Amino acid sequence: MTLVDWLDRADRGLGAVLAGRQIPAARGAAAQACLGLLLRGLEAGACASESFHRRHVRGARARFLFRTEDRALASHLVLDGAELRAGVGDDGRPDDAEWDVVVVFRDASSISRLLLSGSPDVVLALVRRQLRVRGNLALLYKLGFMLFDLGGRLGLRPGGAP
Amino acid sequence: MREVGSPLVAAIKRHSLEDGPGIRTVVFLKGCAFRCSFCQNPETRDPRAEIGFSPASCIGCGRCVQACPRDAASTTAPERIDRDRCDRCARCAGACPSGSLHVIGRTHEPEALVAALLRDRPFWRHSGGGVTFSGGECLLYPRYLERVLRLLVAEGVHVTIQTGGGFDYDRCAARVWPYVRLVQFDVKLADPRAHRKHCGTDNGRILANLRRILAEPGLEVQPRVPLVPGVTDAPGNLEAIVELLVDAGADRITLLPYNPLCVRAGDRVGLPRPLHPERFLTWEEEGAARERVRRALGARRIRTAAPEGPAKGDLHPRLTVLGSTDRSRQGA
Amino acid sequence: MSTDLLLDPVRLGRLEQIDLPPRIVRLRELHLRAVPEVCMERPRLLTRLARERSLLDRTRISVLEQARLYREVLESREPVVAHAAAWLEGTGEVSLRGEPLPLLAGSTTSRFKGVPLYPEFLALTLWPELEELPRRRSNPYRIRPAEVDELNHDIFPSWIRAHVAEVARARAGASLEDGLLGHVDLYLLSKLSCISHTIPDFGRVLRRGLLDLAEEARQRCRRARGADRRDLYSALEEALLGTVAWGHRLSAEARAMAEREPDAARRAGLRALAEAHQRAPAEPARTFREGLTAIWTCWNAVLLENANYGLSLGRLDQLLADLYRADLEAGRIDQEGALELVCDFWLKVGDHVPGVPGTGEAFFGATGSNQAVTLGGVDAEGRCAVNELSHLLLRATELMRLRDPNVNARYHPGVNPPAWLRRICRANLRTGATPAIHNDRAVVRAMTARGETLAQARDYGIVGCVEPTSAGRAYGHSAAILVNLVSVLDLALFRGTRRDGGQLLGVDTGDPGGFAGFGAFREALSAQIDWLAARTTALNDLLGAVHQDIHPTPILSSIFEGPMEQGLDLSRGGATINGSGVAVVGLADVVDSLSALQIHVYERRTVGFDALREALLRDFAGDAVLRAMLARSPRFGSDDPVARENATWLLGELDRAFGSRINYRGGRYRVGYWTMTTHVGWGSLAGALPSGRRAGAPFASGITPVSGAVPCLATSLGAMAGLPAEAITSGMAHNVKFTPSSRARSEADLAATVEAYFDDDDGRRNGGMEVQFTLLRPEAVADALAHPERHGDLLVRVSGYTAYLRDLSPAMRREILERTAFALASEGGEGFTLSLGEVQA
Repeated sequence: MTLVDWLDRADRGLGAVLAGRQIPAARGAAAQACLGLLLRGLEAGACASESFHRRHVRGARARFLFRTEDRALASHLVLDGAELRAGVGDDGRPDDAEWDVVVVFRDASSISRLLLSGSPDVVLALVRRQLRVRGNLALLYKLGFMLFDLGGRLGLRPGGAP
Repeated sequence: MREVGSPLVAAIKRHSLEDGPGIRTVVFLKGCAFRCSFCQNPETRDPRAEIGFSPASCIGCGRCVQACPRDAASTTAPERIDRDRCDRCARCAGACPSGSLHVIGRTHEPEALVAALLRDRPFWRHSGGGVTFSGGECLLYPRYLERVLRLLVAEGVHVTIQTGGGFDYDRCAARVWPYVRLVQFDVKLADPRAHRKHCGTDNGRILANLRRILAEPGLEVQPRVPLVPGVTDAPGNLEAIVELLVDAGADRITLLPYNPLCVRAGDRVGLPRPLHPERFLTWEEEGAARERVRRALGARRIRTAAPEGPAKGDLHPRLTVLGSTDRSRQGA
Repeated sequence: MSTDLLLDPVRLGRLEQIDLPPRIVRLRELHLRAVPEVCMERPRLLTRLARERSLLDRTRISVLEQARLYREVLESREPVVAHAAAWLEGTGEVSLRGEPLPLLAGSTTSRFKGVPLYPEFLALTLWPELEELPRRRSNPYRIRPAEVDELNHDIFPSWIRAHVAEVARARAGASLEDGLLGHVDLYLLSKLSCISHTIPDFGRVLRRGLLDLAEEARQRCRRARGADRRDLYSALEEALLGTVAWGHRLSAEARAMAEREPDAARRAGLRALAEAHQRAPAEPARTFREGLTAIWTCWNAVLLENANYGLSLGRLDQLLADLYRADLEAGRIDQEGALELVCDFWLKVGDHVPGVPGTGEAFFGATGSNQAVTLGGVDAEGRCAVNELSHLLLRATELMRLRDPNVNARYHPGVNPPAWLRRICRANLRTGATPAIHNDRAVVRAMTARGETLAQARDYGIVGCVEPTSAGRAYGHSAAILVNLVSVLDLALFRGTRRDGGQLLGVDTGDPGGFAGFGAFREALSAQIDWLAARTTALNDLLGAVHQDIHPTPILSSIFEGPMEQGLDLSRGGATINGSGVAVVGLADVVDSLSALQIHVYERRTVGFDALREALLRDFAGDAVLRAMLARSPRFGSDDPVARENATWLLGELDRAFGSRINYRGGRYRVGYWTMTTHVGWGSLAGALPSGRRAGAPFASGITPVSGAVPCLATSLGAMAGLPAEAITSGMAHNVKFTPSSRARSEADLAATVEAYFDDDDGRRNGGMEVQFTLLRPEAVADALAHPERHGDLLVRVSGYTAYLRDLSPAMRREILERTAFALASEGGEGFTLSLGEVQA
């Protein structure tokens, strides 16, 4: 058993919501904008919805960095136990070791290729070396669950919010 | 027909369950005097090597067209080779990357053939099987067979011969019978005119050989009648064959179920398709033939057991028509 | 010998007449219709207790602490005698009151069919899809919204930094971290999910009872030197007493239910349950029922400790034969009663399914827990060990047709009666998929080549899929590493990098286009194999060390040969025999590719290496001629000496590269060839190969030749029987697919075929080691695909295990349907013969 499971599960929510199919408005947007939008969505969800905040943010501590291999593009997401913050750039912390999870895309095009493909296949992206993950994968699973929940709340997936 | 040199082997079929007792390794020799319309192995008629074509693996690359010096190959013709122009130089087969075009018929020195056959010894050992020579008409080559069989029998191998009956009796009796345990002798038609019509020759020699071999002491002979709708089940034929066999002292008769593969069997070597049905007969349809044989035997005061029907839920009831000699012996 | 009641042929014949009692028919129907439900009991108890004891942030947990933890869980779990409700497909929750009572109490989870969660291993991988679980297309699990919240809020967060994978990652350091996480195309490491590919020593459980074992642990503790040993012995005692407590609590619950039960028959049934569980496994087993009860109760306990990936039951027909015989002789049981008990046991064993996240389906699709049972073969002295119980267990298997347990039959040519092999073949014809058949001669040869004594080797049971393991004494973790051999070939083809370039991964072995000959290419591949062996075994050892530190296994250690004697937990090498297994995936495709390279690139030079490489990268687009030519190279599974030589060389290389390494417990690595469904999963990711295989196509399963490559059964079996058994030390799965026929000879034909395949041809070859059949009736499959609801129990052979066809992914179904099918009877049939010998008087 298997890393594949982990990685795909962890990123399924991410991938699904990132895909243009789930945020049609984002289709065609630049990779950075797309990623930024997504993370902002989480931030908005955490602020706007008391239940989302209670479910995912309160008591949770994790620091996520998303960047390209050459660090030309970067976004981050921080859970500090009380709040969720998202933003462009590396938040002034260029060292990967300062983050719990770092998702590294090979280049900008691999972000768009993944985010804007009809059905993002994270395993394939990993195998094809379009991205790699460093850090505690359990946090990525948690993020996946948050994104899945967000998708439901925004009515982006059948079934909606539980 | 005079035996010149080594015959060509068209194919060696391993793990056959229906060509004699146990698990068999079957050697098909090329060359046959008959031209039966329902022949299952028409690529074994011609004693010479020929070019086979399997459309499924053809990738349409056209290398055969470039290779052929006589302009006989074409990627557009469904049969690929114009057999009238082809002189069997086999350059097309040599050039074919996928093996779709291939040579049928290779010589095997007896020692090499036996060595290849003996790989299957474990299968024979545990099933009571052995080697079956078939064809074509393998008995056209008694000298070659003798050389092969001597080696096989020295290894303790059970040998079965399948024949259509067109052979030189005395030469076979001298060279082949001493090594053989079972002869499966196909009898198709009793009437000479019908035989000429469906098999291309007179059947006088076949019937004479049949009578002689049935009288041969110590040789197990299994006469087999292939069921072919409209041919071997024609009025009177089965009855006449029964008469003939009973008179000649046969101790059994086997009905081989009709096999529709004969219709397309010649495609590979560019032979026209015969007009036979393209489906198996059902157990019930075959029942009529069985019943006729049984009645004919009854007329000779021979009673037989009812054969077992196909098992419930069987996929191909017609495929599993069986009844061993042991089982049918319970009849009396 | 013929005086033995268990060898009476008349009694064996009578077994054939027994059918399933209505009680079992009903329970089986409920079992097949039940939808797995996530069980919260274990993660909830474990999390609470671990938190209370501050174990979650510890870098080392002693075996005694672990044992105390488990004992408390065993003393806190709800003792379920009969489940009150089940969730049925298409129906929803139904009450089970009034349904037949089981003959064994207790269950792996709190649910009728449960998904146990192991947050210390891989349960957190389910986190992203928790809400999706009931709705996902393949193998959905039921979970309640409140349970989702509890997992998300309370349970999973506790383990974020405390589960094995994360602890290993934190320790790995930069170079190995990438190896743990980033090379899923090259290998899979299963210690992330647990170490349970082994067989407990139920012999000591049945002979001595757990209280006696606990007493021994107490005595040894008193005499032991050093705190670690004393801890270990105390831990064994705690574990044994915890298991005893679980049995007694089940007994008490059954007795309490009996008090309340108005129906006299059910009351009697409950009292019998109470009695059996009071006795077993605390005391030595006296009856067949107590024997099964003891094994089942221990099974519950062991599965509390470890996730079930191929934890196997061993040789039940040997373990229970004396108890069964004694019952028969005393008139306590008859064949019908024993068969019914076994059917109950089979259903119990399948009462849980592994929690597999969606993508895992590609690699381990539709698998149960692969709990192998082994029947037949020889005893430690080499005598025939087949008895009536072997036949009875086989009869139960073919009547029940369940994917779990995974039943394996042993056959020792020349020692076991041919009737046993025919019986095994009949079961295969009836079920279409089971049991797999193992050749004792070849297996014992392979095991003794690795150092087992003859007696230890002869006492092998199958673990998981097909891996032979000396039962109750070998802690082999035969599934520790799964290797994608095709990706290793890629490293040799592309100078140590992946096809799309990128950083150096393996070894830069140079441009194969510049090699002087095929020998140099082999050396390059050999170097990549060495790199992979070094890398994967280092990672396995790292994970093993994490298990030693935070996940010692006192329960399994308490019923195993070695830990008691040596004073060492299994995770630290306490077993009598230690090892780790590597399963190699893609062997046939790589051998075929080697032969194609040898012939076309290096010998005939029909194609240059650069041109070939370009063609591979284009997936042969525009290269139909080249591809056709390559595909006609000598094929693995044929008689061709080139193919045979490459296969023998490669098997030897893999055996050398892994077999020379010693694992963290002091045991050697062993190599086996079975694939589960990884040959489809990895195949879908792999590019075109020199063998002519197109990108994305499945690899051949197990050690089976590539589908269609060798259309002749005798050729294929002959070649497989010639493989070097001593290089295949962790089992192999050889799939042979037949189109069935109902001719009366089929059983004999199949048996003769297996016998011939196993035959060593008077020492000219090794003889086939294993074979497993797929007997699919095309029309049954077509109907099952069109109407899955009607065929919930259609079993098919995957590779090493059986699965229900409806659970398999479309790609896996396709792979099975496209396997080379051999005919058991040709289209023509052998004819119908009338004897002319009987002239009427």
